[in-house]
Amino acid sequence: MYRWKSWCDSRQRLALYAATCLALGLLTGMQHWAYYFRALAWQSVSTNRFFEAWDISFWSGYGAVASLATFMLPAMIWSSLAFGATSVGREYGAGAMPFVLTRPQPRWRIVWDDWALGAAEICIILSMFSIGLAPFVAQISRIWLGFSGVMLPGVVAVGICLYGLTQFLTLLTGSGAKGVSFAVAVVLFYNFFPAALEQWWHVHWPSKILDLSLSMFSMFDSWWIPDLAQQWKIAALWSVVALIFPFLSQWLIERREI
Amino acid sequence: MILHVNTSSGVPVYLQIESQVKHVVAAAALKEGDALPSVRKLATELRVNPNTVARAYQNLEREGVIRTVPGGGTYVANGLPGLLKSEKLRRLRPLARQLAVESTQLRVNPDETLKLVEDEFSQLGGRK
Amino acid sequence: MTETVISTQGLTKVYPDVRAVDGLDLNVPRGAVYGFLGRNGAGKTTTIRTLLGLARPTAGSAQVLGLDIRKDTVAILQRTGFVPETKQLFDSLTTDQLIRFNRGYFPKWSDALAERYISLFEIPRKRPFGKLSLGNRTKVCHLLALCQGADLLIMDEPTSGLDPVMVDLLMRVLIEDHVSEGRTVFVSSHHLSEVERIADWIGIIEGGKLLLEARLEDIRQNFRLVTASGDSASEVAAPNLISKRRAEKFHRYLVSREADDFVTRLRAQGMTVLEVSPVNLGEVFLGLAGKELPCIAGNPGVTRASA
Repeated sequence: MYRWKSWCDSRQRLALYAATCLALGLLTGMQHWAYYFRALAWQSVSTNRFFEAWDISFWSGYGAVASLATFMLPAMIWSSLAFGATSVGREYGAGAMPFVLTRPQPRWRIVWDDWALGAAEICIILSMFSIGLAPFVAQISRIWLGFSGVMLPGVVAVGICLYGLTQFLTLLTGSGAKGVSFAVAVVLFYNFFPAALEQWWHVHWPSKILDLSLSMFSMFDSWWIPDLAQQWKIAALWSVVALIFPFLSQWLIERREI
Repeated sequence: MILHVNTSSGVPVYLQIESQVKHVVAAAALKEGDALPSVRKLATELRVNPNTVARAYQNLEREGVIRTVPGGGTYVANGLPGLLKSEKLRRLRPLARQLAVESTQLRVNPDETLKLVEDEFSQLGGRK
Repeated sequence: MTETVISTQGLTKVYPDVRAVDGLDLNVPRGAVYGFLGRNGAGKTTTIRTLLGLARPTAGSAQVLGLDIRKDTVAILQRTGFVPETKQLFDSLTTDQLIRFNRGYFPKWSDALAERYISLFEIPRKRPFGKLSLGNRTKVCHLLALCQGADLLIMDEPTSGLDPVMVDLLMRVLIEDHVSEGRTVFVSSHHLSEVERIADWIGIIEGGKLLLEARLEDIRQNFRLVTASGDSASEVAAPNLISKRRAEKFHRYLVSREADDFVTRLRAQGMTVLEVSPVNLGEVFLGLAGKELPCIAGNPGVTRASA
């Protein structure tokens, strides 16, 4: 039943975010489609031999999918923090926790229901980009159509991880605002501290740990074609990490006293 | 039947209910065979615990003031017909003694005290 | 022996700065209306929280509806209706939505009762909880607990925020729909006059300890306040002595039964018995938990001796 309450609270936000992402996906797709046609037009009147041989379809497709990265990262961070801030922990600050905890259900159900719903909503929101983009990429390049969802598993896994972290911190502090602040602090620390260690204290990290870095979005640095296997591996690793947080939240709520 | 109980006085509520019911019956406001409200209804009206009303009704039934019908329903009875007059007088004696003692203490004339009692009877409308 | 619905054995809850509940031995019989009385901070709310699994007891044990409070919390909550001290539910949900939320947990939920109470208590249906006045919020909290089909109702300060008309309606509803059905009601309050009407059992808690547990009718019928004067230096002890106070030469004793025997004993010790009077609940409460201020007229004041 707490799932229903979480749904009541979050459905408007879900609709808004999903619509925004869909719209951005469509707009990006349209934009790159326009670029594609313009490039084709140029090619047809060009007298440059190199340009004539240029695979416009491939590179326009690449541009479209790469642009996903621009949107998906902030969208993921925003959604994860927003849903984490409005998770069950804030009932402490609002004073409604005695009511919640005196409903006849095991406490772990509350945390997991809340988490599962939030995770599903994040999946939906983040998928909306690719869904908006896909019809246009289909027109541009068959090859890249297959990859238009390529970033999804990784981004969603990291997003759910961040959401779980924020949910845990909101539960710990009893306030959505504090939960978000601490989550951001954790993310910044996580992002910069290993690099700092490497830079100033010359500590080298094994590659397995590097896989968990947030630089997975730089998949386009070394290869023109995304390595799908690598993507799934990263997604799997992050998913395992993501699951740690609801367990932590469960442990916390079962210990908590009012 | 309008009853009123004061829960903040030291007097047990069931005793208050009993004495008020007896008063109402004695004043012939309720006659033999008239129905009394059920325990639940009276408890709700008075906003008191049903056990209290139940106890009062039990005591009243034992004294023959009311009787309960097996199918439900409580009615005014006409006293305990089996009681001998001597027994009834025996029950009244302590009250009479108390009245006599008080009026002696207050130095009120016995005639005036008797007149008081007669006044009370006439206010009740005579014998039931 | 009637079955007890709530039963505690040496229940203790210690916080870092205070012993909130200290060796409590409570017994609530089935079908009773139990008034759990105490001052602010006496330990009433902590006791309730422990019974409902919101806090873990430091020591001792307790059973609610025959179930262990440490192990069977969910089963207890399934059959218990609870009105919390802070009348706070979800700010974003309306009354209708809160009903829908709560209904899902309780198969015995009664929609008919809910409809009746909504119109009886004049509860707004479509406004979010966060926008309701304190009185309306309290009413919604009651609504959710009363329609649940619970075997036991635990109400913590149920009348706070309610106007006298609503308090009256609430009592009416409690008696008609719950007490008359044989359900048990556990009311924690410091509003004595309201509790006095409908309670049949009383438990007085102070400083985390249960000072008195008795039938209310017993208190009215058998408890007596004995006022005596004398210079007797010897301590008067008796199993039926609940509390005693002293102001110079005057002594006040609260006895739970057999006041006449007690009076005889006092006289045997050379004291003059001035008055033997019945007590109401307020006097018992103040006698046990009250603080007396020094008299103004030059009297050095009273020192309270514990029983």
